[in-house]
Amino acid sequence: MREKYKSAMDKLLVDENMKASIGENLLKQNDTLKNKNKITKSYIKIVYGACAVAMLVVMLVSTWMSARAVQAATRIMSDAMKVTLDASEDVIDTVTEEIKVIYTSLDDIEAEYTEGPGHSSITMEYEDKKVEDYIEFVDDCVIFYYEDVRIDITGQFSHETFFRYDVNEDYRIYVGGELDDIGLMRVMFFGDKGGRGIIYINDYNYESQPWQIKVMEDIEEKE
Amino acid sequence: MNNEELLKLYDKHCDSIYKVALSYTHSVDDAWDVVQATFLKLMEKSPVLSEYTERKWLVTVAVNKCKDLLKSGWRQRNVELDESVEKHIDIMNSEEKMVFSAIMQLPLKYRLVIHLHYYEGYTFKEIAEILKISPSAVSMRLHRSRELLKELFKEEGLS
Repeated sequence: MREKYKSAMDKLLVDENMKASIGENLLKQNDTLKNKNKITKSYIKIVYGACAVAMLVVMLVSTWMSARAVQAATRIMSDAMKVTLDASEDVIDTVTEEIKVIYTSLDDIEAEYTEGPGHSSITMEYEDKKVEDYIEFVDDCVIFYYEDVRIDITGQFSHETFFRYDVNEDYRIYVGGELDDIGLMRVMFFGDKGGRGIIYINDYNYESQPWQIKVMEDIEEKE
Repeated sequence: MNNEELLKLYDKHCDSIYKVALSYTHSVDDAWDVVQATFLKLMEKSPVLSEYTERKWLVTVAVNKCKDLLKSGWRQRNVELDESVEKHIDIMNSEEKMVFSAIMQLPLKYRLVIHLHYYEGYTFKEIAEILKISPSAVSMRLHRSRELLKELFKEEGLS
Protein backbone atom coordinates (compact mmCIF):
# COMPACT_ATOMS: atom_id res chain seq x y z
CA MET A 1 0.00 0.00 0.00
CA ARG A 2 2.85 2.34 0.89
CA GLU A 3 4.37 1.97 -2.60
CA LYS A 4 1.03 2.45 -4.33
CA TYR A 5 0.26 5.58 -2.31
CA LYS A 6 3.76 6.89 -3.00
CA SER A 7 3.53 6.37 -6.73
CA ALA A 8 0.01 7.85 -6.74
CA MET A 9 1.24 10.98 -4.94
CA ASP A 10 4.20 11.23 -7.30
CA LYS A 11 1.75 11.33 -10.17
CA LEU A 12 -0.08 14.28 -8.63
CA LEU A 13 1.32 17.00 -10.82
CA VAL A 14 2.34 20.34 -9.41
CA ASP A 15 1.24 23.27 -11.56
CA GLU A 16 4.59 24.70 -12.64
CA ASN A 17 3.11 28.05 -13.68
CA MET A 18 1.56 28.51 -10.27
CA LYS A 19 4.78 27.41 -8.61
CA ALA A 20 6.80 29.96 -10.61
CA SER A 21 4.31 32.73 -9.98
CA ILE A 22 4.31 32.13 -6.21
CA GLY A 23 8.13 31.94 -6.25
CA GLU A 24 8.29 35.30 -8.02
CA ASN A 25 5.84 36.83 -5.56
CA LEU A 26 7.86 35.50 -2.62
CA LEU A 27 11.01 37.13 -3.97
CA LYS A 28 9.22 40.48 -4.23
CA GLN A 29 7.91 40.12 -0.71
CA ASN A 30 11.38 39.19 0.50
CA ASP A 31 12.79 42.40 -1.00
CA THR A 32 10.06 44.43 0.69
CA LEU A 33 10.73 42.70 3.99
CA LYS A 34 14.47 43.37 3.73
CA ASN A 35 13.87 47.07 3.05
CA LYS A 36 11.51 47.26 5.99
CA ASN A 37 14.05 45.62 8.29
CA LYS A 38 16.75 47.94 7.00
CA ILE A 39 14.71 51.02 7.88
CA THR A 40 13.82 49.62 11.30
CA LYS A 41 17.46 48.82 11.95
CA SER A 42 18.51 52.34 10.90
CA TYR A 43 15.94 53.77 13.25
CA ILE A 44 17.12 51.61 16.14
CA LYS A 45 20.75 52.49 15.44
CA ILE A 46 19.94 56.18 15.43
CA VAL A 47 17.99 55.98 18.69
CA TYR A 48 20.71 53.91 20.35
CA GLY A 49 23.35 56.26 18.97
CA ALA A 50 21.54 59.28 20.33
CA CYS A 51 21.12 57.66 23.73
CA ALA A 52 24.75 56.58 23.84
CA VAL A 53 25.97 60.07 22.99
CA ALA A 54 23.65 61.58 25.57
CA MET A 55 24.78 59.14 28.25
CA LEU A 56 28.41 59.77 27.42
CA VAL A 57 27.85 63.49 27.74
CA VAL A 58 26.15 63.00 31.09
CA MET A 59 28.91 60.75 32.36
CA LEU A 60 31.71 63.06 31.29
CA VAL A 61 30.02 66.17 32.47
CA SER A 62 28.81 64.75 35.77
CA THR A 63 32.32 63.49 36.52
CA TRP A 64 33.74 66.93 36.18
CA MET A 65 31.03 68.98 37.67
CA SER A 66 29.83 69.62 41.16
CA ALA A 67 26.35 68.72 42.39
CA ARG A 68 25.07 72.12 41.41
CA ALA A 69 26.59 71.79 38.01
CA VAL A 70 24.69 68.54 37.42
CA GLN A 71 21.54 70.59 36.93
CA ALA A 72 23.26 72.45 34.18
CA ALA A 73 24.52 69.14 32.79
CA THR A 74 20.95 67.99 32.34
CA ARG A 75 20.33 70.97 30.14
CA ILE A 76 23.50 70.23 28.22
CA MET A 77 22.37 66.64 27.78
CA SER A 78 19.03 67.64 26.30
CA ASP A 79 20.82 70.02 23.93
CA ALA A 80 23.20 67.24 22.95
CA MET A 81 20.28 64.93 22.27
CA LYS A 82 18.69 67.55 20.06
CA VAL A 83 21.89 68.09 18.14
CA THR A 84 22.32 64.35 17.65
CA LEU A 85 18.78 63.88 16.46
CA ASP A 86 19.02 66.83 14.12
CA ALA A 87 22.18 65.34 12.67
CA SER A 88 20.60 61.93 12.34
CA GLU A 89 17.67 63.39 10.42
CA ASP A 90 20.11 64.64 7.82
CA VAL A 91 21.67 61.20 7.60
CA ILE A 92 18.36 59.48 7.00
CA ASP A 93 17.14 62.06 4.57
CA THR A 94 18.25 59.90 1.66
CA VAL A 95 16.28 56.94 2.98
CA THR A 96 13.21 59.16 2.59
CA GLU A 97 11.47 60.52 5.59
CA GLU A 98 9.91 57.22 6.44
CA ILE A 99 11.64 57.39 9.77
CA LYS A 100 8.79 59.62 10.81
CA VAL A 101 6.27 57.16 9.54
CA ILE A 102 5.57 53.91 11.27
CA TYR A 103 4.85 50.86 9.18
CA THR A 104 1.68 49.21 10.18
CA SER A 105 -0.56 46.58 8.72
CA LEU A 106 -4.24 46.38 7.95
CA ASP A 107 -4.74 44.43 11.16
CA ASP A 108 -3.71 47.46 13.17
CA ILE A 109 -6.38 49.62 11.65
CA GLU A 110 -9.68 49.56 13.43
CA ALA A 111 -11.41 52.20 11.36
CA GLU A 112 -13.70 50.89 8.68
CA TYR A 113 -13.69 52.35 5.23
CA THR A 114 -16.26 52.49 2.52
CA GLU A 115 -15.92 52.38 -1.22
CA GLY A 116 -15.75 55.74 -2.95
CA PRO A 117 -18.37 56.51 -5.56
CA GLY A 118 -16.12 56.42 -8.60
CA HIS A 119 -12.98 57.41 -10.36
CA SER A 120 -11.08 60.47 -9.26
CA SER A 121 -13.60 61.03 -6.54
CA ILE A 122 -13.00 61.53 -2.89
CA THR A 123 -15.23 60.55 -0.02
CA MET A 124 -13.66 61.60 3.19
CA GLU A 125 -15.33 63.38 6.03
CA TYR A 126 -13.85 64.62 9.22
CA GLU A 127 -15.54 66.79 11.79
CA ASP A 128 -18.41 67.54 9.37
CA LYS A 129 -16.03 68.84 6.76
CA LYS A 130 -15.62 67.32 3.35
CA VAL A 131 -12.30 65.95 2.33
CA GLU A 132 -11.82 68.76 -0.16
CA ASP A 133 -10.88 70.80 2.86
CA TYR A 134 -8.05 68.42 3.58
CA ILE A 135 -6.79 66.85 0.40
CA GLU A 136 -5.58 68.13 -2.90
CA PHE A 137 -4.53 65.87 -5.72
CA VAL A 138 -1.89 67.17 -8.11
CA ASP A 139 -0.32 64.92 -10.74
CA ASP A 140 1.42 62.08 -8.90
CA CYS A 141 1.19 63.75 -5.56
CA VAL A 142 -1.51 63.62 -2.93
CA ILE A 143 -1.38 66.59 -0.63
CA PHE A 144 -3.02 66.24 2.73
CA TYR A 145 -3.69 69.36 4.74
CA TYR A 146 -4.38 69.31 8.41
CA GLU A 147 -4.52 72.54 10.34
CA ASP A 148 -1.21 74.18 9.53
CA VAL A 149 0.53 70.99 8.43
CA ARG A 150 0.85 69.99 4.82
CA ILE A 151 1.80 66.41 3.94
CA ASP A 152 2.86 65.55 0.42
CA ILE A 153 2.51 61.88 -0.43
CA THR A 154 4.13 60.49 -3.54
CA GLY A 155 5.46 57.18 -4.72
CA GLN A 156 4.50 53.56 -4.86
CA PHE A 157 1.49 52.42 -2.95
CA SER A 158 2.31 49.04 -1.63
CA HIS A 159 -0.47 46.48 -1.52
CA GLU A 160 -1.92 46.12 1.94
CA THR A 161 0.84 48.14 3.51
CA PHE A 162 -0.29 51.14 5.41
CA PHE A 163 1.69 53.91 6.94
CA ARG A 164 0.76 55.71 10.06
CA TYR A 165 1.57 59.35 10.39
CA ASP A 166 1.07 61.10 13.66
CA VAL A 167 -0.20 64.49 12.65
CA ASN A 168 -0.20 65.56 16.25
CA GLU A 169 -0.93 64.04 19.65
CA ASP A 170 -4.63 63.88 18.96
CA TYR A 171 -4.82 62.98 15.32
CA ARG A 172 -3.22 60.27 13.23
CA ILE A 173 -3.80 59.28 9.67
CA TYR A 174 -3.17 55.98 8.02
CA VAL A 175 -2.33 56.01 4.36
CA GLY A 176 -2.21 53.03 2.07
CA GLY A 177 -3.08 51.98 -1.38
CA GLU A 178 -3.82 49.07 -3.59
CA LEU A 179 -4.63 48.25 -7.17
CA ASP A 180 -8.24 47.27 -7.57
CA ASP A 181 -9.61 44.57 -9.84
CA ILE A 182 -9.55 46.70 -12.95
CA GLY A 183 -6.09 48.13 -12.32
CA LEU A 184 -7.06 51.44 -10.81
CA MET A 185 -4.88 52.65 -8.01
CA ARG A 186 -6.87 53.27 -4.91
CA VAL A 187 -5.37 55.37 -2.15
CA MET A 188 -6.99 55.13 1.21
CA PHE A 189 -6.86 57.43 4.17
CA PHE A 190 -8.06 56.72 7.65
CA GLY A 191 -8.11 59.25 10.40
CA ASP A 192 -8.27 57.56 13.75
CA LYS A 193 -11.03 59.92 14.83
CA GLY A 194 -13.42 58.77 12.19
CA GLY A 195 -12.14 60.47 9.07
CA ARG A 196 -11.83 58.12 6.17
CA GLY A 197 -11.58 58.32 2.45
CA ILE A 198 -10.60 56.77 -0.80
CA ILE A 199 -9.14 58.44 -3.85
CA TYR A 200 -9.14 56.66 -7.16
CA ILE A 201 -6.26 57.49 -9.43
CA ASN A 202 -6.70 56.73 -13.10
CA ASP A 203 -3.18 57.11 -14.41
CA TYR A 204 -1.07 56.54 -11.39
CA ASN A 205 2.52 55.59 -12.06
CA TYR A 206 2.66 52.36 -10.11
CA GLU A 207 6.32 51.73 -10.90
CA SER A 208 7.51 55.01 -9.44
CA GLN A 209 9.72 55.43 -6.41
CA PRO A 210 8.98 54.00 -2.97
CA TRP A 211 6.81 55.89 -0.56
CA GLN A 212 7.72 59.37 0.38
CA ILE A 213 5.74 61.33 2.84
CA LYS A 214 6.97 64.85 3.19
CA VAL A 215 5.75 66.91 6.03
CA MET A 216 5.78 70.61 5.38
CA GLU A 217 4.81 72.47 8.47
CA ASP A 218 3.65 76.06 8.83
CA ILE A 219 2.31 76.49 5.33
CA GLU A 220 1.09 79.92 6.12
CA GLU A 221 4.56 81.01 7.08
CA LYS A 222 5.99 79.52 3.89
CA GLU A 223 3.32 81.17 1.81
CA MET B 1 17.42 35.53 4.23
CA ASN B 2 18.65 36.45 0.77
CA ASN B 3 16.72 35.70 -2.42
CA GLU B 4 19.11 32.97 -3.52
CA GLU B 5 18.68 31.01 -0.28
CA LEU B 6 14.94 31.51 -0.40
CA LEU B 7 14.68 30.29 -3.99
CA LYS B 8 16.85 27.27 -3.23
CA LEU B 9 14.63 26.22 -0.33
CA TYR B 10 11.50 26.96 -2.32
CA ASP B 11 12.58 24.82 -5.26
CA LYS B 12 13.66 22.03 -2.97
CA HIS B 13 10.59 21.82 -0.75
CA CYS B 14 7.69 23.43 -2.63
CA ASP B 15 6.32 20.16 -4.06
CA SER B 16 6.50 18.38 -0.73
CA ILE B 17 4.75 21.21 1.15
CA TYR B 18 2.14 21.46 -1.60
CA LYS B 19 1.31 17.76 -1.31
CA VAL B 20 1.08 17.86 2.49
CA ALA B 21 -1.27 20.85 2.19
CA LEU B 22 -3.29 19.20 -0.57
CA SER B 23 -3.79 16.01 1.40
CA TYR B 24 -4.87 18.13 4.36
CA THR B 25 -7.11 20.70 2.68
CA HIS B 26 -8.35 18.71 -0.34
CA SER B 27 -8.18 21.90 -2.38
CA VAL B 28 -5.58 22.98 -4.93
CA ASP B 29 -6.14 26.69 -4.27
CA ASP B 30 -5.92 26.27 -0.52
CA ALA B 31 -2.79 24.15 -0.92
CA TRP B 32 -1.08 26.96 -2.86
CA ASP B 33 -2.18 29.48 -0.23
CA VAL B 34 -0.59 27.30 2.41
CA VAL B 35 2.63 27.00 0.37
CA GLN B 36 2.84 30.78 0.09
CA ALA B 37 2.02 31.36 3.77
CA THR B 38 4.62 28.78 4.82
CA PHE B 39 7.43 30.41 2.88
CA LEU B 40 6.36 33.87 4.03
CA LYS B 41 6.72 32.61 7.58
CA LEU B 42 10.18 31.32 6.69
CA MET B 43 11.14 34.77 5.39
CA GLU B 44 9.79 36.53 8.46
CA LYS B 45 11.37 34.21 11.01
CA SER B 46 14.58 33.35 9.11
CA PRO B 47 15.27 30.45 11.49
CA VAL B 48 18.67 28.82 11.58
CA LEU B 49 18.02 25.44 9.99
CA SER B 50 20.26 22.60 8.98
CA GLU B 51 19.72 20.55 5.87
CA TYR B 52 18.08 17.91 8.05
CA THR B 53 15.74 20.17 9.98
CA GLU B 54 14.58 22.56 7.25
CA ARG B 55 12.02 20.18 5.72
CA LYS B 56 10.56 19.27 9.10
CA TRP B 57 10.31 22.94 10.07
CA LEU B 58 8.51 23.77 6.83
CA VAL B 59 6.14 20.78 7.12
CA THR B 60 5.30 21.76 10.72
CA VAL B 61 4.53 25.33 9.67
CA ALA B 62 2.47 24.06 6.72
CA VAL B 63 0.41 21.79 8.97
CA ASN B 64 -0.25 24.71 11.33
CA LYS B 65 -1.23 26.94 8.41
CA CYS B 66 -3.63 24.22 7.20
CA LYS B 67 -5.18 24.07 10.67
CA ASP B 68 -5.59 27.87 10.70
CA LEU B 69 -7.14 27.79 7.25
CA LEU B 70 -9.67 25.13 8.15
CA LYS B 71 -10.49 26.94 11.37
CA SER B 72 -11.61 30.06 9.51
CA GLY B 73 -15.40 30.47 9.51
CA TRP B 74 -16.19 30.00 5.85
CA ARG B 75 -14.05 26.84 5.61
CA GLN B 76 -15.63 25.08 8.55
CA ARG B 77 -17.30 22.44 6.49
CA ASN B 78 -16.25 19.09 5.22
CA VAL B 79 -14.52 19.82 1.96
CA GLU B 80 -14.77 17.19 -0.74
CA LEU B 81 -11.77 16.51 -2.91
CA ASP B 82 -11.32 19.43 -5.29
CA GLU B 83 -12.33 18.82 -8.92
CA SER B 84 -8.90 19.95 -10.08
CA VAL B 85 -7.35 17.17 -7.97
CA GLU B 86 -9.66 14.64 -9.59
CA LYS B 87 -8.09 15.61 -12.94
CA HIS B 88 -4.70 14.26 -11.85
CA ILE B 89 -6.16 11.00 -10.63
CA ASP B 90 -6.89 10.03 -14.22
CA ILE B 91 -3.21 9.38 -14.89
CA MET B 92 -2.95 6.88 -12.02
CA ASN B 93 -3.43 3.18 -12.62
CA SER B 94 -6.49 1.52 -11.11
CA GLU B 95 -4.78 0.28 -7.94
CA GLU B 96 -3.01 3.59 -7.29
CA LYS B 97 -6.28 5.37 -7.87
CA MET B 98 -8.07 3.12 -5.38
CA VAL B 99 -5.40 3.53 -2.70
CA PHE B 100 -5.25 7.29 -3.22
CA SER B 101 -9.03 7.71 -3.13
CA ALA B 102 -9.33 5.47 -0.05
CA ILE B 103 -6.70 7.45 1.84
CA MET B 104 -8.31 10.74 0.83
CA GLN B 105 -11.62 9.46 2.23
CA LEU B 106 -10.09 8.93 5.68
CA PRO B 107 -10.84 11.45 8.41
CA LEU B 108 -8.35 14.31 8.45
CA LYS B 109 -6.26 13.18 11.43
CA TYR B 110 -5.78 9.73 9.94
CA ARG B 111 -4.94 10.75 6.39
CA LEU B 112 -2.38 13.28 7.60
CA VAL B 113 -0.54 10.64 9.62
CA ILE B 114 -0.67 8.24 6.67
CA HIS B 115 0.68 10.91 4.33
CA LEU B 116 3.53 11.93 6.63
CA HIS B 117 4.50 8.34 7.31
CA TYR B 118 3.97 6.69 3.92
CA TYR B 119 4.86 9.51 1.57
CA GLU B 120 7.18 11.80 3.51
CA GLY B 121 8.77 8.88 5.32
CA TYR B 122 8.72 10.42 8.79
CA THR B 123 9.08 8.21 11.84
CA PHE B 124 6.44 8.09 14.59
CA LYS B 125 8.61 10.32 16.75
CA GLU B 126 9.02 12.92 14.02
CA ILE B 127 5.30 12.92 13.22
CA ALA B 128 4.59 13.32 16.93
CA GLU B 129 6.83 16.40 16.99
CA ILE B 130 5.20 17.87 13.89
CA LEU B 131 1.64 17.32 15.10
CA LYS B 132 2.46 17.97 18.75
CA ILE B 133 0.98 14.68 19.93
CA SER B 134 2.59 11.68 21.60
CA PRO B 135 4.32 8.93 19.55
CA SER B 136 1.83 6.42 20.93
CA ALA B 137 -1.03 8.57 19.61
CA VAL B 138 0.66 8.55 16.20
CA SER B 139 0.96 4.77 16.36
CA MET B 140 -2.71 4.49 17.36
CA ARG B 141 -3.84 6.76 14.53
CA LEU B 142 -1.82 4.78 12.04
CA HIS B 143 -3.25 1.53 13.35
CA ARG B 144 -6.82 2.84 13.13
CA SER B 145 -6.31 4.26 9.67
CA ARG B 146 -5.01 0.89 8.48
CA GLU B 147 -8.10 -0.78 9.92
CA LEU B 148 -10.32 1.73 8.16
CA LEU B 149 -8.43 1.25 4.91
CA LYS B 150 -8.77 -2.52 5.19
CA GLU B 151 -12.53 -2.12 5.38
CA LEU B 152 -12.58 0.29 2.47
CA PHE B 153 -10.43 -2.04 0.33
CA LYS B 154 -12.63 -4.97 1.23
CA GLU B 155 -15.62 -3.03 -0.04
CA GLU B 156 -13.73 -2.21 -3.24
CA GLY B 157 -12.52 -5.81 -3.62
CA LEU B 158 -8.82 -4.97 -3.28
CA SER B 159 -6.60 -7.22 -1.19
